[in-house]
Amino acid sequence: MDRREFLQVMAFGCMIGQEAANAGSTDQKVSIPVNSKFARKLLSEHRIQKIEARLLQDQYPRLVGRNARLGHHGRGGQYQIRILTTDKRVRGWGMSHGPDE
Amino acid sequence: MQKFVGLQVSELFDIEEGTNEDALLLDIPRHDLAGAVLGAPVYALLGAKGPKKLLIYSGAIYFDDLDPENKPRGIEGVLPSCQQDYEAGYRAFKLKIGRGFKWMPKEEGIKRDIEVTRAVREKYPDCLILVDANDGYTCEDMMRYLSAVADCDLFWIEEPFPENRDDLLKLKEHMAKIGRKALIADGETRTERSEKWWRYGGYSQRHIDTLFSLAEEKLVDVFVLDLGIVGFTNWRRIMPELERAGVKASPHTWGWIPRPYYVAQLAAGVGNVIIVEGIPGKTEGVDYSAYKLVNGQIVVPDEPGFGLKLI
Repeated sequence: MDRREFLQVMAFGCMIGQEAANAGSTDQKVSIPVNSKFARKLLSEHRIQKIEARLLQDQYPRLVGRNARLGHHGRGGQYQIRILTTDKRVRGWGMSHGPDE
Repeated sequence: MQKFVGLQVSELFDIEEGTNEDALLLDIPRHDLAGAVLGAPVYALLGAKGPKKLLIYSGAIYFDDLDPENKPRGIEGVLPSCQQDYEAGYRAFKLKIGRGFKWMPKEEGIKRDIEVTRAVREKYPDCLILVDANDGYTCEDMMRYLSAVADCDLFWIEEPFPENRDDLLKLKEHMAKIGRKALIADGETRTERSEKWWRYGGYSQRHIDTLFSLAEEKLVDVFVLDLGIVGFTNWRRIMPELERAGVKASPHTWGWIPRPYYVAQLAAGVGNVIIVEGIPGKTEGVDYSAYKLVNGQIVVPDEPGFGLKLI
């Protein structure tokens, strides 16, 4: 089986059942059970202490050009993230912008 | 935003439900925070139903042959872009096609699309090739294009033309006639917005109903609805619906670099994602190194949250 066939089998394994794609694969799916009741309790022990906004800037490896309908897509965009910090100093962040921002 | 300060994390985020509607702007940060609090990757919060090694394609192969405008490089302008992404670990390329819609006379554009597709296939015999026309073709021209690249073994054809039953049926019949089995991926572009946020986010009910009715007839194989227009929590909710309909997902991510990583976690968490749309590049102040891109697959780490670090 050449690489392209392998990649197609991996993809189409999704369609016919993951077992086919995993045949011969050494990738063991690790199931990390998260107990919902325990998780809810732990999440309730943290309070949001701070919400900060920040801008990030992407850099594509090259100028990205046109597609069928749109002009040049540039060298990377700028967008907002938000950083949440809890009273126990745990932090989470991610893209966060609404239509008005 | 400040109204959420002082609230318990559990008031805005539930492990099984995701983010509540009042805090949708914080949907992604909330999932990351929940993972950090629990010491678990987001995919584990989502149920860990999918694989941790996922196919990923470079979504960054645009009309490089047409640049620079004063001295276009021609086909040789596209191949270095593919090579750059190949060296970064990608083994699948999505080629934009549809040059004849706006940027070249129609017949020249179709000819160039064919030449570029064939050139990439010749140089990368072992890679997957996807094409995306951004609805820039007609059905008849798409059939001609596909006949001309029949031996290029395309993986999927995305948004060949504005989706409609009759044309997609003709296209599928043509593909059967020439012995090609490329998937049809559709749904990203919306011509109207939902008036109210619902489980498909900003997509209208009509758009979603159309997609599902096409899927029922096997005329659309993969939904490429946008990650953000649907919403991360909503994607968790709707994935079982796509599965029941026999449709795969590949949430649209272009062009903010964190987004493919969010989709990778979604895929490892709820499954049913056939391939991830990758965006080569980096983000100032962000460390993506927990993720490995090896031989065309992105490997989802077990780091807490999304596994992306602010530096």
